Amino acid sequence: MTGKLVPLRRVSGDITEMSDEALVAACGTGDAPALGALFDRFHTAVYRFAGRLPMTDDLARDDLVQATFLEIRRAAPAFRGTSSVKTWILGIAANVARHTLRAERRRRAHQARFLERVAAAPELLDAQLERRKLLARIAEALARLPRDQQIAFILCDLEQLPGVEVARALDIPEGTLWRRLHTARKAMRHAIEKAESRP
Amino acid sequence: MTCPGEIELARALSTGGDAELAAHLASCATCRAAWDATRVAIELARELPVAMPSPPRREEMRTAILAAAAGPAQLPARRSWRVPAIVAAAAAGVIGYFATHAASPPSAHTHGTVRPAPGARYVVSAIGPDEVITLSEGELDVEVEPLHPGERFRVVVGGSELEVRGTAFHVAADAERLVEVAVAHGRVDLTPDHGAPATLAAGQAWHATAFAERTRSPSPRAPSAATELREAEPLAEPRDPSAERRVLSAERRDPLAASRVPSTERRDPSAERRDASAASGNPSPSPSAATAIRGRDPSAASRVPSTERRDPLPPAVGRSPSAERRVLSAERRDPLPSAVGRLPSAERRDPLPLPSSRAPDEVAYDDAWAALRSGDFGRAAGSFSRVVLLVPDSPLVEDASFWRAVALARGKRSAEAASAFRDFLDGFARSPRAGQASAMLGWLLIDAGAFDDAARRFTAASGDPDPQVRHSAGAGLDALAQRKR
Repeated sequence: MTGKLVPLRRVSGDITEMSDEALVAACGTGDAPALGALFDRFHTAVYRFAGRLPMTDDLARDDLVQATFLEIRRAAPAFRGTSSVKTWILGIAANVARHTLRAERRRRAHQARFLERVAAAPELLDAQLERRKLLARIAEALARLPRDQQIAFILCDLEQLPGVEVARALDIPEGTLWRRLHTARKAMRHAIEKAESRP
Repeated sequence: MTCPGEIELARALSTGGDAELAAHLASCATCRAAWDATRVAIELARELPVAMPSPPRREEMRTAILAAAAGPAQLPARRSWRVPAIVAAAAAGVIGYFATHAASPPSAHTHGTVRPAPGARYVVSAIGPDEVITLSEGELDVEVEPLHPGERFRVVVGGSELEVRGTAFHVAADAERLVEVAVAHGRVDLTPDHGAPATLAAGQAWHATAFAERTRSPSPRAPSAATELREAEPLAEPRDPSAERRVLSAERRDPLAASRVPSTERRDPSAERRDASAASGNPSPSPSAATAIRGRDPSAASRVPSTERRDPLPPAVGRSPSAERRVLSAERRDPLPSAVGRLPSAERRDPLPLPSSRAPDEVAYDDAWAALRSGDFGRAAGSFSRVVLLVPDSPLVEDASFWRAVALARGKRSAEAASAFRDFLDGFARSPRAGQASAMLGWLLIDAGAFDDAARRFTAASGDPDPQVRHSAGAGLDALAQRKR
């Protein structure tokens, strides 16, 4: 296509010295370099979050990451600083993931395939392979969780974000978050216990 | 203290708990066991591997996000478009507004932006949720944001109709007759007034000229005249002028078109050379050349007749990371063609709805190209391999072998790429691509420190009829000579 230019005007000041909050504010004015800087700072966290969500493939993760940063740009004017920028961004990623039906279908398909693979796995004998099998059980348990519980578990326990901020970012009551987390943890715990109880 | 409730326990596991809970855990074996087991589960879950993107993929994503964010379909602005769009549409409906538009600025509609070329004549015939643009004459570049359920966006040209869902495309008309459609990203459903409907995916185009030619002289393998699909800049990359090495450009060859042409025609190197010579000797486009797709260099594209759809050299191999970064930076300065072409990966994965009777080698070949275009070099290499494995005597084997090597090289699997290029050269020594393969192999061998072998490969490539190949080979020999000095 022709005739389209990406605005690359600079935000005022050295972008590398701007705080996360200032970048979000600049992004909210439509500043493309600020969005680029936010990507540079937080893409690892978003990719890691997306990578932990059971999905089919890398491209599905790419979809989520891209949608998240586009949503960040859209939502930036509404950022109020009630949580850290990282939590806010991961909350956006979580909401994008939660509301993407297509991703949900992928997740279920992936889960089905994953379970087939696990079921077809040969008996493993040595300790290292046993541990790998245990991790597979954990992954399986994570994949089986409802998406909301997955998100709570990943944000709070794997990304180790403060629960209060996570609840705010997900726009849910704190008690709901803790309940989801409790259920998710219980499922993960049972997965380990089940694996260890097998001969 | 009684045993804590689930919320209290969950909160304590995150925040650490207080002295009272600690005392309880010390005295209650059940709670202690649950506490410890949960912590073990969390620790184990943290060990789960997480795949992170490669630096090139990350850069690609960054570029795509910035390009998309800068697009006209910004969500915050969307509502503000409705008023002018409604006004414009109302004007169109009431007074038969029929305008000749300048090239800029673009005019906004409810679902996207129409960017008319000078002289284009179009009218907004209806607004959302079923928006219709009627194009009578000239060319439009149209970008449409993803539509919600129940929403439609259509472009009508005479008796032809395009229906889109979140896409960017180019459409041209001549005297109320659809001439050309080229899709930058997304998908367009095309219902021409003559011929079968077709769905164009990203990077594909439909040309009335090709359709007319095809109907006059049908190819025995052409499934449908209306599905005359061509590739749009599948892998074209910007050059890195400061890099010592030649940045090898991408193949623009149309795998689908190739797969539909009888093998004797496709594999006749002299015919290809004649086409190339004709292309270079006669820059004015043939009728089908007017169908060139807007890409990174639209002016160049429009000069190249469609018979010559390829750049002679495949994409760069063995570039240093810094060189690659420079290339990517340059891409950000001119982000749209490549960035938008790579935008939502879901769109990239949209399968091309071709007839189910296609041969498995063609399916694999198309899949490989789709993967190559999207930067999924591992899948591309695998699919090109499948072509060879599925139908060893397929006319596509030669091309598949070459592009498999290219895919491996672009995927930084240098050793495998070198081996693949050797296999290709052994198997297809007389291929018109032999020079390209030799040059690319030469650069890989330099990276591997096999300088003598690299010199032999460059020497072999230096006699290639293609000047770009000779240039690459010359640069390689120069680099080796400098190294000796």
